Amino acid sequence: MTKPIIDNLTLPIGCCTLERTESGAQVILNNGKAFSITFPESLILQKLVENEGVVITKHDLIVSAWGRPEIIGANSLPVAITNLRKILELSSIKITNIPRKGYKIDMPEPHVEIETEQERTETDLITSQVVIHPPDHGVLKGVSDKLKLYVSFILLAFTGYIVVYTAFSWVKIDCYDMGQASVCSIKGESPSNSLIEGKKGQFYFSKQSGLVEVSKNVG
Amino acid sequence: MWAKRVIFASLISSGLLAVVLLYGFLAGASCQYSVSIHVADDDRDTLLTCYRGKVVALQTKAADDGHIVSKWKVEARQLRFGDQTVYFVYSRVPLVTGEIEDNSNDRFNQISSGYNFLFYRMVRVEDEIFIFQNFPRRFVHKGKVEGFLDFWDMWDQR
Repeated sequence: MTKPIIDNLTLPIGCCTLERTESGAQVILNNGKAFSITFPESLILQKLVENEGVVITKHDLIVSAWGRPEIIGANSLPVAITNLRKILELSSIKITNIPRKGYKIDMPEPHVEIETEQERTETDLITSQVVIHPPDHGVLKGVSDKLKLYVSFILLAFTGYIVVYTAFSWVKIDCYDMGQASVCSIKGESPSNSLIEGKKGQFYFSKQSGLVEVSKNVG
Repeated sequence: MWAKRVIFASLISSGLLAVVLLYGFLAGASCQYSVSIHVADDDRDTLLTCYRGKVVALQTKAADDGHIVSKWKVEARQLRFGDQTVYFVYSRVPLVTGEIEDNSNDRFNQISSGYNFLFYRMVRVEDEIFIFQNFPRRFVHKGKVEGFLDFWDMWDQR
């Protein structure tokens, strides 16, 4: 039994990441929070993740983490597992104890959503980024986004309808001078010159009502 | 990205629409007037009243001997945008029922009952009012007005 090799590592675990360098190891959650763990804990986690869903015996885990079983106490492995569980349960990742056999890791099914980013570079190269959300939140977010879009389309259509309806129904008038008379008529209708000839003052006009004289000058 | 633009555009446009409608509702709610009009072509009289935005109009047609042959009550909510007046008509009921001869007032109201939004342009000159309409026919009505059409008119009358 030799001492385990501790190499630099970046390993995705569900929606978090295990990072290990010479200076230490940490688990980084998808919200950016990082939790430091010991090297043996990182080795245990690596072993479990590389054999996801498979039961790894306690002996194998101890050998992976410490190299030799006889140099550690009886509680070293359970303590390491407890520490890892505290961190991983924040991302719904479970380490399950299988009695008399060992441990296995279970990760939730990731919801993968492709999000096109804005133009990142000057060469207009569009790249895509894989964003992994916990499943329930992702599904809800997707439904909510679609609902928002449908409601927005309905609102836009409704607003457009109101604007068009109002524009067509709006009563527009044209005002102009004809000789000595000032006339306002419903748009598209204007009195003939003979009708207004010789008249003075302010008049309103439509073909059906004819000329309607205003007694006073419009202010 | 386009989805965000659609959502943004819908929020802005519906927000603007809500503001415009609210203005029209508030301006319309400041009315306190009565208008009397005689429509010569149909030989009918209209008395139009508005108070706090609620409009009640009585349209009456009398026979040659003076007895009323047709009378309708119309209830509406007024919105005002400058000279433009929008009536949202929510009730139009005949007050004279039974066996009635066909007449222009009934015809006008029966046809108009199919429309809820009616647009008019009301221009006031002292105590006279001129009402321009596009529908059901293009016409300029002339009538007498007492009170004020909205808060702008109230300000002008002071």
